[in-house]
Formats: sequence, C-alpha cells, structure tokens
Amino acid sequence: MSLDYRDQARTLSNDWVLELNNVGKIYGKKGNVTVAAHKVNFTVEPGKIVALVGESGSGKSTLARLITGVERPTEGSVRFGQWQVDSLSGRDLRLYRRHVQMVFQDPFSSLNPQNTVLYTIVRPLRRHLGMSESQAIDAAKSIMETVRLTPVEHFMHRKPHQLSGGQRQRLVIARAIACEPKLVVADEPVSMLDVSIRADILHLIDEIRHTRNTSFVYITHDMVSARALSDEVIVLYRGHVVEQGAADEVVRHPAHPYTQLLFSSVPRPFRSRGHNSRSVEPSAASRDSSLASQVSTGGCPFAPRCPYVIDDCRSTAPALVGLPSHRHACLNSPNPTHDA
Amino acid sequence: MLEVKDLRVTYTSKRGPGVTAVRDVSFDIPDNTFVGLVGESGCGKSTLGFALSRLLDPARNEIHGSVVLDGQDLYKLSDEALRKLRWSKLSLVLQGGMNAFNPVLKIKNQFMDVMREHSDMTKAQMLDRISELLKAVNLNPSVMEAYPHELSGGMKQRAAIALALVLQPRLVILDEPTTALDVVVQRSIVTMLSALQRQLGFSVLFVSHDLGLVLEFADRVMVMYAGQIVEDKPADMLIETAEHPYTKALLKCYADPGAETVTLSGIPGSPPDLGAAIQGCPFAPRCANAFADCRSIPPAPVDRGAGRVACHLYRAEEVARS
Repeated sequence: MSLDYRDQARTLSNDWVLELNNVGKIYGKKGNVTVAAHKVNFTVEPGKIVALVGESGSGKSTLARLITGVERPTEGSVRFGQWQVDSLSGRDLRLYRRHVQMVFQDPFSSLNPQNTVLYTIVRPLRRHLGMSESQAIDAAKSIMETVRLTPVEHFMHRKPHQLSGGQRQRLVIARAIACEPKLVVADEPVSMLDVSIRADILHLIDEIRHTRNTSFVYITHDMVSARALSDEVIVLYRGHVVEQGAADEVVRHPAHPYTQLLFSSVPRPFRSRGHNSRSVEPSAASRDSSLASQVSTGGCPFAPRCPYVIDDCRSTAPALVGLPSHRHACLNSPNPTHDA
Repeated sequence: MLEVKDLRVTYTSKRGPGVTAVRDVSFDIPDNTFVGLVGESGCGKSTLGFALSRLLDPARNEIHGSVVLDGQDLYKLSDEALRKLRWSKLSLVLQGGMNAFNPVLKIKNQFMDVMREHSDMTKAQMLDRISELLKAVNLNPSVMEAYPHELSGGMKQRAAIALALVLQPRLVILDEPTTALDVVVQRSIVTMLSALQRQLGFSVLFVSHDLGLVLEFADRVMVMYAGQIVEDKPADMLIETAEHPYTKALLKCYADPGAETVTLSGIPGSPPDLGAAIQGCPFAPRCANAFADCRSIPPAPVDRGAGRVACHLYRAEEVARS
C-alpha cells in the first residue's frame, strides 16, 4: 500500500469485472442455520445490468451485502477488479466504496432527514474524491441535473420530507452516482414507489448506464422490469441460483418451476381471468412460501413446493445445466427450453 | 347494500386550510360483490376506507355526506349502535393488519375476544368457528394456539382476514392487505379471498395501489385520483374500454412480461396537492388530452353504459350526439 489511496483508485482499469465465485453465506450457528447464499457464481461487466430476482428470503439482499463488502461470505470469493472484496478493510474498503455504491429500497429511511439535498450529494464528493466545498457544490448541481431534480435552485435546499417518493429516490440515486462508481447495487429501487413513477426511475437507471457506462446489479421481484432493464437475469430461491441467462430468454421462456411460479404471479390485467396462457399454474398450496415446510436437506431447495417433484429431487441437488445464454437447475423440468 | 353519497373528508389543521382527501365521492356496493378501489399514494383511498368505517375522529376532521349500510346511516348512529355493527356487519383489514395482533395473546384468544363481545356463542362453538375459518383461509387450525410472532407475514395476514370474517359481516374493507408481502404470497392470498367472497357471498372493498392485481380479481373497479372517483366500471369493461385518460395511462404501466418486447411507461408529472383547491379537472396538468374546459370546470361523472367516467372528453361527446 505504498500508493496514496486516491492514486490507487485511478488505477482501476476500464475492463474490471465483478466476479462471484462459488459464494456461500450461512447465518446462524450449528443446528439452526440459514443458507442465504449457496454456490453462487456470476459476473458483472462494465456497462451491464444484471437482475437478481426472487421473493423475500431468496437471498437477494444477502448478495447485495456481500458485493458491497458489508458482509463477508462464509465460502467462495467476491472479486472486483484487483480487489478481493471479502478481505477488504479500513482504507481499502473505503476506496472500494468509491467504485461500488448502493441504492436502497426505501427512500424514506435511507436519507438523513436533517440533511439538505445539496449536502447529501456533496458529502460523498468531498469524502471520496477530496473535492473542495465549492468544487463539490458545482459537481453536485450537475448531478442534480442528471437525475432531473430540477430546477436545481428549487430543490437544493430542501430536506427529504419536502420531496415526493420519486424525488427522494432520485436523490438516493444522485448520491450513489456522485463519485462516479463503476457499479451500483440497487436493492428494490422502485418497489416502494407508485407504478406511474417507477418507469421514470428505471429509465433514469438505464440512461446512467448508457451515458456513464455504470453497471448495475438490479435486485427485484418484478419480472417485467427485470426483463425491460437488464441484460442478464439470475433467479434465486433460498440462496440457490435456480435459473440464469439472458433476460429475454429467462423471462419469456422460464424453465425452472420456481421461475414459472414467479412469472405467473405477475399481475397482468390483460390476461383473461382465471386463465394462464403460458406457464403452468402450480397448486395453491405450493404457491405460498409460508405454507411450505422446511428446506429438504441435500436435495433441490424448491422440492417441498414444486408441483413437478420426483423422488430424486429430494436427494440430489440439481446443477445448472444448459447453454451459457440460459441455464437452469432442475431434474424434472416440465418444459425445458433450449433456445440459444 | 352500502350507499355512499357526497362523502367529503377534510383533515383540519391549525395552520392553513387543511387537506381535503376525499372530495364529494358517491358510489354504492351491492351484495356479494368484489369491488376494487385503486389509486396512487396520497389519492385519498385509505381516508375513504376509514371514513366508510367511521374511524376518523369527528373533532379533528370535517366529514360531510352520508354512508348508509343496510339502511342505517353510520354517521347518525350512536356510539353503542356503531360498536354493535362493527365486526358483525362491517369489518376492516389493514395494511399493517398482520401487526395489529396483540403479541402476548394466542391467535385464538384474539378471535374469541371479538366473538364474545359481539355474539353469544359458547366456547366450543367459538373454537369450532375459529378452526373452520382458519381452514377457509388455508391455514392449519393449529395456528390458533400460536402467538403472532410464530407466524410469517403471509400467515398473519391470512389470520387477519379470517378474523374479519368471524361474524359473517356483510362488508369487509381491506386496505392494501397484501402490499407488504411478496408477489407469490400476494397472489395466493387474493386468490383465496376472492374464492371465499364468492362462496360466502359477502362484499369486499379492496383498496389497493395495484390496478393490475385488482383488475384480475374484482367484479368492479373504482379508480381514484386526487380525492375523486374518476372512473367506476365493471372490471371486464375497464380492461376493454378504459376511458378516463388517467386509467388509460395507469393501464399502460402494466406490461406483459411474456410479450414480444417490453417497454416501461409511466405518467409524467405528479398528483396535485390536496391541501389546495383544485380548479377544473385534477388530472388536467398531467393529461395529454386536456383542453381549455379541463382547467376551469370540474368534470361531473357521466354515465357510460354500466359505468361512470368523470372526464370532459365524454361529456363533449354526449353533447355533440344530442
């Protein structure tokens, strides 16, 4: 660590990759453990958006915490460019956070109510980029233009309670992109917002990706926005990757029974009532995680809820199979798709 | 069965004029109907739900108009008469309803509190009824012996729905009952609710921000914007011929994930401040079809077949035809 940390920050090459290699995270002690991540592998490249999809408890947020270095994996490794994320601490961790930022779900609780809009954006600029107050204010104003918190003069002295939900989330995004990170982990960034303003925020994320070449890990339970926004979709169930591939492929041709269940749960007003055009409707009992029993040991994690379960599912853990563009982990997939 | 006429609710304030969250709303809910009330945050839908169940403090709020349930005007009843009517004719499930259970009482005791207060069932009858209802909401009857913290969010919300049905009310108002739950659990609960509604024949007012969800399950949908009901139609009809520009824009926000291409669309602008008087149509500033009248004259609801729309576009059409 002979270099000043700001010098080292500049040395991050433009062809960095975020790489999760067999990442596992287990919470709790022996006898009462929760597997929040199990052998997760994926990469994120510059300018790409990868969606992590799953219902609550699927381990989406755990992965966010592992990627941002808030928690360390119990197994495997997380690498970002030259950093071994799972062993970062102190100054290195701070340096890492200049490049990897986070957007949280709830814009009502992720902003300090006492800070003005301007201060919220100025702070990371001063802390991570070492700007002077006046430089930071100028930069912050231009970021406010980027996220369209405009007119700037009108918003800069406001506090969070004087902003609408959508405006708050714009501010959270502004704060996250202020020091030009390479990667932003967005954990359910629109699920607390009204449907009519969700699209605006998602378009903003897409625009930032294109204009700044920023990558996003987009965490969501919404298949529609995952498909519209991301390049790749990773479907998680109880910490396991059950399906992974190009966004269009996974969402249009879901191969894993769990992905199909998620797909059929999307409200679609134009679908005629009681009729399910594409996916197979699993029985009522298998739909609801609250009704499912504990995870089977050793076998497929989805086996207790799966309508297509066979004996092997309870003993053999399925591996991800298929083409790189679309893989899924199921022993008895009802309609395997092999679209290239 | 339920008739609401010119209901207007203003939250008064010592500073300023107060916030009028419900603005002269009229509608009725017949027996055995699943009605969805849809709107975005701050449109007054929860206020309307509270006002219907007379849960707003008359000392702090100005409430005008009438709410008539089975011939009784709720706002003219004595407190005692109103208390008797609650749970037995009208019950309410709230968004945080799952957290409204008393954490130190078993589920069955919380059910029995309600039943003891409002009926003269014996203990054995009560226990039978509880287990019957828990089964109806797809829970194991043994849940009655559990404390609330032993149940997941989805299970608690199911139990809350069972509790609302315990005395066979005529009308159940559910305010965002599934918003805190994830999509899979949400769908299974609403499917269950809709099946129960058909089977037992009570009426449901399902308040939600999610038009997509409501359209799939409701018989009739009321769309609320800025304190007013802008469109009120049978669900099938609304899907086919949504007429109000707000409803149309809202419908566009729901894309089919399986379609050839998916584009995300929203509605530009933001809803008006309910603390101020609204000139003309509240949606006019965000409406692509707005014309001069929209900014000055408030649109009155116009009958459109089996539904109603409050929009000048359709009044103009009517005038032109006559």
